[in-house]
Amino acid sequence: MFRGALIIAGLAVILHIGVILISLERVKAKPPLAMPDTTGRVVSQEASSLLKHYGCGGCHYIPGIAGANGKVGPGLEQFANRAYIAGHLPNTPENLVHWLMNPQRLEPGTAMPTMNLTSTEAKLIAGFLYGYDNDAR
Amino acid sequence: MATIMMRVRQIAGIALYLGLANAQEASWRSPVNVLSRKGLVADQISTIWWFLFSTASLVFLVVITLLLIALFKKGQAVPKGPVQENSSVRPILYLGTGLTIIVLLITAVYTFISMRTLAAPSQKPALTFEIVGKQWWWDVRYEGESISANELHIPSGEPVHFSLHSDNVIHSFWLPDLAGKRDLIPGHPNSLWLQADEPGTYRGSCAEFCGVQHGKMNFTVIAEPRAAFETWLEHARAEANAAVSEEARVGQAIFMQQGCAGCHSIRGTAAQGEIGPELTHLSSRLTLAAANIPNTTGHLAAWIVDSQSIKPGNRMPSQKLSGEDLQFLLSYLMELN
Repeated sequence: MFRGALIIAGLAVILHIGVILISLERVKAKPPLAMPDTTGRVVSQEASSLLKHYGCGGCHYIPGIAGANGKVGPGLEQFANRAYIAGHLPNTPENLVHWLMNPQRLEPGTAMPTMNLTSTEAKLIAGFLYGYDNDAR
Repeated sequence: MATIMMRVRQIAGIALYLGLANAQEASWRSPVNVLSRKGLVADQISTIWWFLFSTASLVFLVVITLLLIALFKKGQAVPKGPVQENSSVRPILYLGTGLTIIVLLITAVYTFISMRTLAAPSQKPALTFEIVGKQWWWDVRYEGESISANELHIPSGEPVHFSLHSDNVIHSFWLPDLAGKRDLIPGHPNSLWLQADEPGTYRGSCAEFCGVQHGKMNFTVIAEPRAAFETWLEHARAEANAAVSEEARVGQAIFMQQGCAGCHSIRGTAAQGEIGPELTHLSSRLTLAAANIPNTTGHLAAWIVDSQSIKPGNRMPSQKLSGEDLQFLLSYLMELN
């Protein structure tokens, strides 16, 4: 009986301490400014929040962005290695930025809508996409 | 010193986590807080919770302490078997039972008093919204007419009444920052009142498992001063703007031909569908797909052509549209502000 009661008391105390420790952990686990994704790549928080805001992931698969698993348009992995944007524009940074800002002007009737990105935003996203080139994959 | 500061920060963090302080800016996707005090009802419930939590913790500590004392105290063993009439253990028995009864009585009476306060607001709510739970979104009605979906504004600082309905399965209207939750039961209208003390954006969700996309059945409540609220309400009840640009006019024709109008209504047009959310002022809303994605052109486009990937099993089919038609449709929908 003594052993049983001691075990119960011990378990209750451990449970209490456990709950407190877990809450401490949760509080400590603040998201850092940049965090490595599943592939080990460091994703800038700024680019990642832009991609989430504009909804790129609704249509494109983008490794490193949570929930970006769209199947409507092409996947954007290893984008720097692509020869063309939209099938006919050479994949240069200038073309990519223009494409991001106004796809309908470069390729009228393409499914990708013009989302009124500013040039700063487009440059951030372009930089993010070209970053895949550094991947070891 | 640094360690002490870290500890202090951690303890402050726990306080934040438990809702003692809340410095975080509210938005439609900020985490909800079940112990919030941002509304009259939530405040009462939070007080009850803290009262019960502290009482239970105190009892727990006393019991564990007594148990440990009993375990480690050297002394005469208590004889086995039932407690005897004149045993020395008897006073402890009376004390234990008596204290338990008193504590339970106090908590019960206190809870009853709070429930009475929560039963009805002190002033009769001037406003009633009708909320109809759908699979898996919220139809917001005012005076019998759908005026919005998954998003509504309320005046802050006064009680608002909600009439809760369902025409399919049981849902539950849960707005943790402002009030408790209440079920939406088919064939049995329910009612709930709440009050937001301060203007703000509050996130709500369905709290009763209602099917495959139950987890993506959320909504947003925006509390604002009375004048701003009245402007919103008037706008929400108004008919849709006529399509202005050429693209939007073509988009409107596509909306009517493509079949969108079979399920969606846009007041002031031929679109009178009643299956999906009404879209009269779609682009003025913060979110799409029941407060799951921000309402931006890119998200809207993805939702139209591949809604089944974003929210598998929902009733909107992914649309087969040419790229051009999609742009026209987007132009039209973005003009519905």
